Parts: sequence; structure tokens; C-alpha cells
Amino acid sequence: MELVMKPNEFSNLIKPFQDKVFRLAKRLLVSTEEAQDASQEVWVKLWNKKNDLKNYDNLEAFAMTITKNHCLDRLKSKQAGNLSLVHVNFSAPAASLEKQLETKDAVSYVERLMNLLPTQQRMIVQLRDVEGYEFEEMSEMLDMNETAIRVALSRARKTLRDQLIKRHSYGVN
Amino acid sequence: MESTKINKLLEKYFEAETTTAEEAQLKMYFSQAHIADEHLPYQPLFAHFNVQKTSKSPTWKPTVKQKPLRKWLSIAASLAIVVSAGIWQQQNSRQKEAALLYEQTKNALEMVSINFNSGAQEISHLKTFDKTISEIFD
Repeated sequence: MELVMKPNEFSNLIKPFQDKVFRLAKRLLVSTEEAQDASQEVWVKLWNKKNDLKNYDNLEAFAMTITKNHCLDRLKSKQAGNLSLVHVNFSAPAASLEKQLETKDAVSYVERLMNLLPTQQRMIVQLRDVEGYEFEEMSEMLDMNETAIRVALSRARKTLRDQLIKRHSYGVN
Repeated sequence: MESTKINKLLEKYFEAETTTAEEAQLKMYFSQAHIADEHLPYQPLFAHFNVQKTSKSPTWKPTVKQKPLRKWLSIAASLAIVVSAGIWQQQNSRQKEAALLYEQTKNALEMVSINFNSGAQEISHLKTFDKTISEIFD
């Protein structure tokens, strides 16, 4: 057994996108534990290809694609097993909340709204609005054309906007 | 930043027509302390993105790296067990050997003693014999 790549070399290689992989997994699977398991699986998959990794011109995009595929498979098998897809605890905002609590609460409210978005839209918002990827990169990761990505992104952002405006008007009244 | 510029950016944003640079401007604007009232509803959205960006992956522990270490540890552990068991056995067998030797020596000595005693008896017979002879002849 000959190791061309050493473990510490490997961990340096994945460092730049390690958190992004985890965050995408978390966005898709919602539970932190499952996201940890999923990212671990991604590293194992990459590690198994360790001797070819230097040949990839965009390793990060490749890692994100593996993450996406792995998480979508997980979601599919969960659905098949009739388990709940996402742990959404959705409730109408309470108008009586104190203003200080409101901002913090509002951020987690966005999280809940995000979980209600269709999987693909959630993924696109994550890659664009959290990670700041260009459409070109996203197109490679998601295997989608840029126009389709823009359409889905706009739809997702508008859904979030409408919900937030609705919520805000509750809070003001 | 003026409100009208933000409004324009937001409009483009919801149509997914902003560039990443423009989106960074929006994130900056919404992370400020003073935000125009009309923009307040969107503030949690951008705050959420900023919070999300800071969430960290648990550090990757190379399982592959741990394996050989664990293997060596288990080899060392089993070696230690074998060695200590060997030492124990050796000590035990030495003790047993000593006990056996003691037993054997004891037995041998006992045998010597019995033989000696019986020898002594023979001698006492001889003595009686001598005595009788001398009684007869003297």
C-alpha cells in the first residue's frame, strides 16, 4: 500500500471549502448531526480518490457536487422510508414579542422560511447568498444552466421577501 | 448609502440580476446599525446570510490516519499482554519447579532416611548376630 498523499496534505487541500461543504449539507439535511455525517462521507469519497485530486482544476466545485448528490440521495432515501423530510417547526409569529428578542427571533424565522423552500431553491440560495458563488461556478456544481439558476434564485428570494414583509407588518401593528 | 440606491439594488436582487459585488454591498448595508425603515423587513434575511457564513464545520479527523495508529496501539497492547503473560507464566513455572524440586528432594531425603533407617535395622540385626556369636564362642 503506497500513499502518494498524506492525511495532513489532504486536510490542507480541503480546508478552503471544508466549511462550505458542511453548510450546504446542513442547509439540505437541516440536522447538524446528519450534516456532520454527510460531510464526513464527502471526505471519505474524496480521500478514496486522493491520488487523482491534483488533476481536478476545480476541486471545490467537485466537492460541492459530491455533497449535493450525497445529500439529495439521503433525502430521497428518507422520503422512501416515510420519514419527515425536514424538521420544520413553523408557527405564526407572535405579535406580543419584545422588540429586543425580535431581531434574533427574526433570523431564526428566516431559517425556518428557508427550510420551507423547495430543495433546489434552498441549495441555490445557499450557494449564492451565503457562499457568494458566481453563476458560472454554480452551473458546474449543480449541473444546471445559468438562466435556470437565476429563475429559481429569483423565485426563492421573492418567496422569502413576501413572507418577511408579511411578518414585518404583523410586528408593526 | 442613499435609500434610492438600495431600493434599486434590492429590486435587482429579487430579480436575481445583481452581481456578487452588489450583493456584498447589500450585505454591508444591512449589517449597519442604521437602516431606513422601509428596508427593515429585509434586515433579518441578510443577517441570516451573515450568520450562516460564520458557521464552521467540525474539524475533519482523518480516519485513515487513525487506523495505523490504532493498529500499532493494538499490536503494542497485545504484545504487552503476551509478554506479561509470559513473565507471569515463567514466574509461575519457576515457582512450580521449585515446589517440584522441593518435593523431589524431600522425597529423596525421605527415601534416604527410610533406607538409612532400614540400614540401621540391618546393622542392629548384625549387632545381635555379633552378640549371639560372641555369646556362643566366648
